[in-house]
Amino acid sequence: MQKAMTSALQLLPVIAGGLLLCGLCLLGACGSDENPPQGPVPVDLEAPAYFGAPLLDEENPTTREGIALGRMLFYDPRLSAANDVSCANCHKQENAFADVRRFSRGHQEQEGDFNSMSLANLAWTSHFFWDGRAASLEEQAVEPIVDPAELAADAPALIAELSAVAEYPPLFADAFGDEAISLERIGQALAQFERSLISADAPYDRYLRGEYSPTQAELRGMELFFTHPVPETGLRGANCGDCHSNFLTSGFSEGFTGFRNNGLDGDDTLKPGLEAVTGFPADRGKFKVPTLRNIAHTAPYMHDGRFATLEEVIAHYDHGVQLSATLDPLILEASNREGQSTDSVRLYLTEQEKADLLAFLHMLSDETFLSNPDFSNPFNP
Amino acid sequence: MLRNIAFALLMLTVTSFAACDADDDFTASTITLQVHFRFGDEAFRTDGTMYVNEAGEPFTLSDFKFYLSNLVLEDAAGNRVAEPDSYHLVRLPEDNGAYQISIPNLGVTEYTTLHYSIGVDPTANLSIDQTGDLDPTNQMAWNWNTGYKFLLAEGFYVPAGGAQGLVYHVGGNDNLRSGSIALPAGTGLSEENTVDLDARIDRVFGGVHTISFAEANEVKGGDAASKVADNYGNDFLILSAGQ
Repeated sequence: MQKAMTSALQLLPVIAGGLLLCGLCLLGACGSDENPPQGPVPVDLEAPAYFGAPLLDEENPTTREGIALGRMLFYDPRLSAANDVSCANCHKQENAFADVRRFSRGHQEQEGDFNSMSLANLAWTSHFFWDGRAASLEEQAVEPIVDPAELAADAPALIAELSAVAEYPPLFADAFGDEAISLERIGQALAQFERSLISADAPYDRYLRGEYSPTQAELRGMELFFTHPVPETGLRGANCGDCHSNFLTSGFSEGFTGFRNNGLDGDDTLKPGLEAVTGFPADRGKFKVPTLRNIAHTAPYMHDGRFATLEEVIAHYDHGVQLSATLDPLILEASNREGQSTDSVRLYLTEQEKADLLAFLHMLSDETFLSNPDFSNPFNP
Repeated sequence: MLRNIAFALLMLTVTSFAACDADDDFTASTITLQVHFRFGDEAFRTDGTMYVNEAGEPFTLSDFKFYLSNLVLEDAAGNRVAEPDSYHLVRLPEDNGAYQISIPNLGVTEYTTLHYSIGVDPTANLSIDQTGDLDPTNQMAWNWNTGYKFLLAEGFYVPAGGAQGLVYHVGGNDNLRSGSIALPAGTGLSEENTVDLDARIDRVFGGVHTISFAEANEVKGGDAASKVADNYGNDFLILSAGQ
């Protein structure tokens, strides 16, 4: 079974690639235009078949030129009011594009309210920011630029400033057909660069490709991670995969199903979260389920960065969950012991199980991603 | 494997030739199924609306979805057309409208019956092939080697004295259920045909077996799951009234 699946996994990209190539040849078949193709070169996001289909924006196709421009903008402090803060200040590659500070600092050292999220495999997730208020990556990318607490840019001034930098107008022309610079195009280029940030070479991926033999602890941790406990049958689980879905370890991308209340706070202190976007009290305290890829490099943890270590995170899910009206039912119902009362939630993991889970979480660290030169600062190569 | 690739290439070529034709004749029909989410006489919502099951127990659902699969259309002469890659994850759209399934390129004839299954057939269930809405990374994949949930209902059972989580994940090859629906007269004779169906969420927890959340608020298999399967296999999906 295992063997058959591995070989199928290995073949899928080959078949997909073949079909894609063929599709590309045929695309030209109906066209009457005999001129060589012009404009930005389309880029296919290269990812394993088990990631599923990426969520792409037809209005903003990913191109070589768009990614290159987006990468420059991502690292350029000129995007901020005082020319001192770039996206990369709070999204550092060595931390899988997260921030080691609990709350990031923006314009004039202002402290934000949330911990900066890691940026990886973003084409396989939907609804951005911790509360899901941005419907697209394009929309997400521009908000921090003009947020007075973050980059605090004044849009017309920023556009004038970038237009006066010699290299930018031609780069916008390469990416979008003409030299016009707009906030919308800045967001589009940033979104293209962000979509190219694919993490798919962790030991977990190499295991899925049949290239890596996990340790016993990693295997046990993987099993626990993806299993919801059923104490009646003795099936032990840590419940993580209920929300951090297969392979991607991120939240589900369908609608707002990737937003959950994971029991950090009780009703009294629950922040609005998704409720601020949908208006439904039933969505109070729900936040985006982030990817756990490279999780060992993205501390601190949770939307408010309240946990400094993965051990603290595991302890939270084991015995620290706070009850509230919107606590996720899959957390509320999960325990490795029968007959739990409804006034507390405990998983009852053993110390060995906690260590095993930790081993699996470390299996999600992708050194290739963390040091990929294509993602690094282009201003100081 | 090679043969499959060759076939796929051939299909692609055929499709691309067809795309160049400027053929406006009406030689094929499309049947669009519109699945309406209902609870009793009301439209069903996942926004915290309180419902009462057949056992008289109050509850809310925050998520509900199911696999509708292996759709087959049959005409009066008994000829059957099977939809290819027929695996649909039917879920409430963000605008709370109907979930739509379009079956294009059908021969123009009157189809009298729709055959369907709820769940995923054993062959596809234990495969990682991504056909139709089957996707090993979606919320319905139980675990990457244990198949799919056929029906998912999550929310809260709210008895006096405190809410409990309500988690019904029903899957497993034994819980695949099949049924058929008589279609309205004339279905398939127009270029575009719409068939309105009701998915009756109340019938998941009642009908054949009355499900009690006090007895089981978390179901992931066993007898309780089979009872739910019997329920969704019996008039859970019906033709909407007034057709």
